[in-house]
Amino acid sequence: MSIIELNNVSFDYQSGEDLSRGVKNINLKIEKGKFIVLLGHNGSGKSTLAKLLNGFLIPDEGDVIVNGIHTKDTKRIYDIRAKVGMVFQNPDNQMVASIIEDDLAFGPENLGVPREEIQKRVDWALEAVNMNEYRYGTPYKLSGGQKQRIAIAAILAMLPEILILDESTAMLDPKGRAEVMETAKRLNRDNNMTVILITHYMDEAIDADEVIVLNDGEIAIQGTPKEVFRETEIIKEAGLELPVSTQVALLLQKAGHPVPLVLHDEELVEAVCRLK
Amino acid sequence: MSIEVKDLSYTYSVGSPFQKEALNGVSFSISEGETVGIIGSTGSGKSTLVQHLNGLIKLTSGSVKVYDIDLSIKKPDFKQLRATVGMLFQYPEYQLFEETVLKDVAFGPLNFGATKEEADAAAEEAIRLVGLDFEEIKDKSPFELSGGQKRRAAIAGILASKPKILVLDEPTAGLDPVGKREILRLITSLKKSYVKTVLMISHNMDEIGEYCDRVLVMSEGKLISDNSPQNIFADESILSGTGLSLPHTARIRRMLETQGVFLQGNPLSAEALAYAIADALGGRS
Repeated sequence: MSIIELNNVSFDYQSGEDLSRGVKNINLKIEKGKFIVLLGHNGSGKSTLAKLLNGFLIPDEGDVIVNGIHTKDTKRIYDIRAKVGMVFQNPDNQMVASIIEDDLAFGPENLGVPREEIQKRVDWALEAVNMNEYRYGTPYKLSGGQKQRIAIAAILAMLPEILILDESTAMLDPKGRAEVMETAKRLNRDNNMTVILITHYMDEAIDADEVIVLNDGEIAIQGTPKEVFRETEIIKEAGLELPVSTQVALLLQKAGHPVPLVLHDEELVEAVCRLK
Repeated sequence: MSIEVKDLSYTYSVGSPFQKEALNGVSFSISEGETVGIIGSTGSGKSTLVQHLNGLIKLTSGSVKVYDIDLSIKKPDFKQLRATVGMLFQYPEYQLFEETVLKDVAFGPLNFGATKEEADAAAEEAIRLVGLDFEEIKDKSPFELSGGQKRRAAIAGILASKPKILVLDEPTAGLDPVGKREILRLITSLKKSYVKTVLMISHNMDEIGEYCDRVLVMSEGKLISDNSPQNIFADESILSGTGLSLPHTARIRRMLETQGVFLQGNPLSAEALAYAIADALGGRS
């Protein structure tokens, strides 16, 4: 069974008389344990889609079903929110306490989790993001990447089944970005966490199980990274770019060199070496 | 010389438990016409450095000269300095505040003493310069604009004061690939206007490699390298220990090298790299 199912979902933002497009006719099934990357230009509907997944927004039309629960079922909305954790772009906006372990305890405390259980969860979450030694420190002294890892841990302490990272690497330096990506991949691999990563960095998409490209609120293409990045016209129309090695491979193809479609730098190097 | 920095050091919160050395003996000079990238991890001193350039941080040790404005004298001409050095902060769209785009962009020149007519004219020129449709957006609220438009409007707000030096802190952060390209092309094209010199902080090594003709590498408050992107990204040695990594193009070139495939130069755009690889392949067959 899919952990997330969207049937013909549409949502528009309304302010006064004005309607602005959110998403339109989205049909989507996400299997448990998958690593999904959501791409699209600014305003393409990525964040709207993410907010529909945890019942932050309720569709105008169609159904969003998470773990068998409809997001329209207002009585069970907190069951959904407990299952779908979101981490946002700016780490500084997501810290609530001045001591890291308190920050992590905040979520489960609000869910009414008993004290001893909270301690266990905090231990586990800090371990999972590799930040154990910072337990009694303060978030304000951390680097951006470390802050985002704490933000992820704070979500993990609520034991979600789905982790949504909404451009959580956008404000980070290269090292911080790598730390967050590594953490997300590890949670997916070791804890079977379903991860939905929203990003503008194409190189964060190349290892995904599935890539979904949104364009003007609709799904433009969906498939494995290779299936998606092969469709260069659709990628271009959606306002995206190909990974650097893919761009180079396509240019070499044009120049008559038999290089296959590659996504990783290493693949390109291998392909070029074979031609020597 | 448009900027001359000599032996610049700065320590935050001197004498308090939070005392932290942010800059340590930084020296460089920048000529008019250069596009200089500044790279370094969070906390390496990049922002502290550029904030000195328009007097947002008071000089305490060393010297800074911007054209003939000497910041080491007792009362430097800060007004002149800030009209010369335009500074665009991270996520500048959050700083838009006026009722209309025109008013927002004209705010700078008005504060530098221009009449309303002069300020409006400067604003119109700046709005057109950043590629926005002046007639369409001048009376709109800045908050009605799209993300990319907002960032352009914010840049226009800096340009309206006609700075000779433009300092940009992560100008492409949070933008989609097309938005990034547009802003980078805009920055390049601005150098045909009154902006003569550009300093750009970025965490994106790919864009630094492609768009800058010189790179300053900051690490733990020190300027550890000042060279062309081709030389900085020639191998991993300069960046080791800084938390930074090579752009994809340079990384591919390095990996090819270790496999015995040598390319001409150090191509830093996808096009240039493809060309160099084709050249290396073609030459052998």
